[in-house]
Amino acid sequence: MKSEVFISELHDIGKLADVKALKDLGIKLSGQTFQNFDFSQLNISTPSSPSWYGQYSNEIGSLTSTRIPEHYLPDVLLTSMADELSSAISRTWSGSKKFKERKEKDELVAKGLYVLWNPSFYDKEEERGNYWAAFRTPDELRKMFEFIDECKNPTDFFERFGKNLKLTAEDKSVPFNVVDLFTHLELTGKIYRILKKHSRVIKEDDKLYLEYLNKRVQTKNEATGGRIDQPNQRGKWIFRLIFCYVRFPQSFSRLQDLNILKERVKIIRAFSENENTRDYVLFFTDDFMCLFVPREEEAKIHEMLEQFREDRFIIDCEEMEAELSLLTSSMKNAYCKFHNSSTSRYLKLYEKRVSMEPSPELHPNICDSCQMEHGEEARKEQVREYLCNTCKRIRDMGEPAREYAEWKGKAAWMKIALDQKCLSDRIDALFKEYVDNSRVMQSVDVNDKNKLKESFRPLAVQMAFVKDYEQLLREFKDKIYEIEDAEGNQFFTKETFLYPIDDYNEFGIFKVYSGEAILKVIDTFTNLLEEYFPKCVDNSPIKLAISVAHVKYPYQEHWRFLSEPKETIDIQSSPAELILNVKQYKTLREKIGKENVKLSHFLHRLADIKEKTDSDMTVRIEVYDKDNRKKFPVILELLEEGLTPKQILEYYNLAREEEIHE
Amino acid sequence: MNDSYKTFLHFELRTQTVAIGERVKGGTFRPCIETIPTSTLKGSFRDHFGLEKVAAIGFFRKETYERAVFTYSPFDALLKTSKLPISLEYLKPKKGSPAAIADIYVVKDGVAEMFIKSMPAEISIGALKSKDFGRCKIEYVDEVKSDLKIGYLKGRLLEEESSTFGIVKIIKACYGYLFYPTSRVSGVYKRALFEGSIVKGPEILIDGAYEYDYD
Repeated sequence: MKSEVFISELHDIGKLADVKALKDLGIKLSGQTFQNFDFSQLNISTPSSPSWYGQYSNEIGSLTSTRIPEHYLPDVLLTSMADELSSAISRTWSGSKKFKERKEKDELVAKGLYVLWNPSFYDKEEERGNYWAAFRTPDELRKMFEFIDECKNPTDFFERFGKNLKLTAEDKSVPFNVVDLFTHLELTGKIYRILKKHSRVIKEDDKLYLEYLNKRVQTKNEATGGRIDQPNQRGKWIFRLIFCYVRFPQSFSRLQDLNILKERVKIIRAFSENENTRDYVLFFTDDFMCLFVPREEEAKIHEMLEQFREDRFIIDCEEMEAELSLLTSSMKNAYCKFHNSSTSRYLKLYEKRVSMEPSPELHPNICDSCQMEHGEEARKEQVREYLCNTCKRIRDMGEPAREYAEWKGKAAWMKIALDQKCLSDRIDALFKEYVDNSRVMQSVDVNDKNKLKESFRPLAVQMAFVKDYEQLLREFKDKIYEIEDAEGNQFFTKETFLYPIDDYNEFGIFKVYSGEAILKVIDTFTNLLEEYFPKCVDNSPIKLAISVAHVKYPYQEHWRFLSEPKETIDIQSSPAELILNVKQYKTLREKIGKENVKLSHFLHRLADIKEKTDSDMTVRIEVYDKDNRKKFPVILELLEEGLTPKQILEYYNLAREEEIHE
Repeated sequence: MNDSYKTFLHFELRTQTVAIGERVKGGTFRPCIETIPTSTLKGSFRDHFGLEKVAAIGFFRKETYERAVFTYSPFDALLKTSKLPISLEYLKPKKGSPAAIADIYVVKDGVAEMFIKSMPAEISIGALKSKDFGRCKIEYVDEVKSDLKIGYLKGRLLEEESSTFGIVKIIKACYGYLFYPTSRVSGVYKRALFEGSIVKGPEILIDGAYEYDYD
């Protein structure tokens, strides 16, 4: 039965067609949209559902077009705007004519998707027998047209063709092939629906307009504006991209306080999945959301996030408000570039906080946990506390990590985190590297390369990265319970490695039987990092922090350490801190063995020398000493790797930690 | 006074152990902050010099201190029982530094100028004074004229004191509360600007510039 709804996501379904294979089978095609296709080749009639007209989105830039029925023009134009915003490189980037011609002739087409942080992704998928194209024969192509006419909603589309969409590049030419079609279309669909929700169609004097906040447009360019290097091409429609860092004021003094993490996961997911708000959320993690929203006059952010405020969450926002074509997730770079050029166009960047306005004054006692409300007395055992209603409710939500209260000896708190600021920079650097080093790009003019780098918009790439990050977290959790000891027994069980909050996979607590337990957890993390993000191993936006201490150690001190990771691997074993990148960790893991008293003395001596003299040279002289060089050749190698004597010593102490028996 | 200037009297404070608490949390652990809020200095100056209306704020120099934890069992004199042990976090001199050192800035006015005459002096700040924590030496350094700058606030001050300190605009408020004594035995918590707030104010209060837009 024919569908009556317009599904923006379907405008790119043709990209799943293997043009070459179809041509080899005698089907005549031009490009990857099918508005000019000769349907008599397949003995079928032209599709006629609303979604069919999405095929025209590449060529319709105005509501005055007569190519399709007027009724469908607004949806197609809005799709075209959304598509532009979702592309990794602006469709209107200002490359040379020669480059554009080469691209048109498909000279730059690469096989499959290029994942910036995992370049061999597509090859591995191909080895597993997976292939990007969904339509390779006339019969499959016929089914594609049937699907366009019958598809009822985007979910059907993603469910049926998800596997192919994830392997297909949104644009198959190098270096445009860095976003998978699944992510690109998810993003396009969300943006399209927000544009549609906040604009209206007007017909006046027989002319069609789209209006948003009293700004009427007839063409795509009028709404979005031109490129950043076109100072007079001002766009009329201004929207906001907002990074929301969701924080809480509570500190952890009891295990029940961890329930705030559960509350945060719940509220972010509820907002991101609610049918009224989900399209505003382009992507999210368990402590972060990226929103696409209209200006404040149209949608008040405090009202949108009212539930967060009521539950006393604090949302720190980085908000870019700009003409549509200028919106980008690399906000700070774009802001600097924008303000270094003389232009009359509109781009603003703000830092704001969304939270409940606290009272000007509180009468004692103040809530011991959040310190933002008046607290009522709450006694437990011999401890008297003061808690506000919010914190009391959180305490009453249940007892996470109940087993922890029974543990003795040492335990480690562990958190994996994605640093969004670092991610944006890393993606930018990886794209530049791809443009410079890709074999196909070697014949491209340096000016074109520079223009491509400047035109890069990392939003969709960032969204795809977050999906892989979530996958890494899930697999990390599975792998933890697959670790074996020397006898082949399971190293951690669900009772000795706790995930205190269901579905919150960034945070765990485990029993430390020995230094080896900590090292096995780090090994699992680094192995997965190398598998999922091989190009990020040296400079990773994904970080692992582990805080090791006696089980009585203050929880909030663990959390403070876990919340501010400095490097890829941060370990605190009070009072020592060991901060390492993956390469340093691997080197130490390989070179430093089990206990060796002489090595221990030597490392202590080196650390002392370094502390007293603050001189690397004096340390090296000691290491170069003939006897020392002979006795401890490994130390020299480690110093050559950039490790300090203190790091080596801290690692040594961690690795040789004795078996702890209760 | 020119709007672009605020004049402060700069003092240096040195201590061997200091625990300026966030409030008691769960009763068993008291973390320590690394700045000296206006309320802490106000209380100390009132106790030691009888000054009621001095506006002052302080910041420990990062390179001079490190954190440590002290555990003790408070004794309830009334019930003659010991309570659960409390772990108190405090600042002590970093290895190689003779003391944990803080810069104190006092808003210059007639009262504050008189205050210089009491220098150098010994004062106590923070928690656990009975165990000798928080004993400090304070001495006058110089007068500082501070330009206006937009950036991230690096200390804690009552919101109602912001104009006294020369803050002309609060761009992003990170709120918390500071205790404000209303008599010797009672007080209230007043809303305060905490670290990370974005303000337009004297440079000495700013830790890093804010370079973007604001309304």
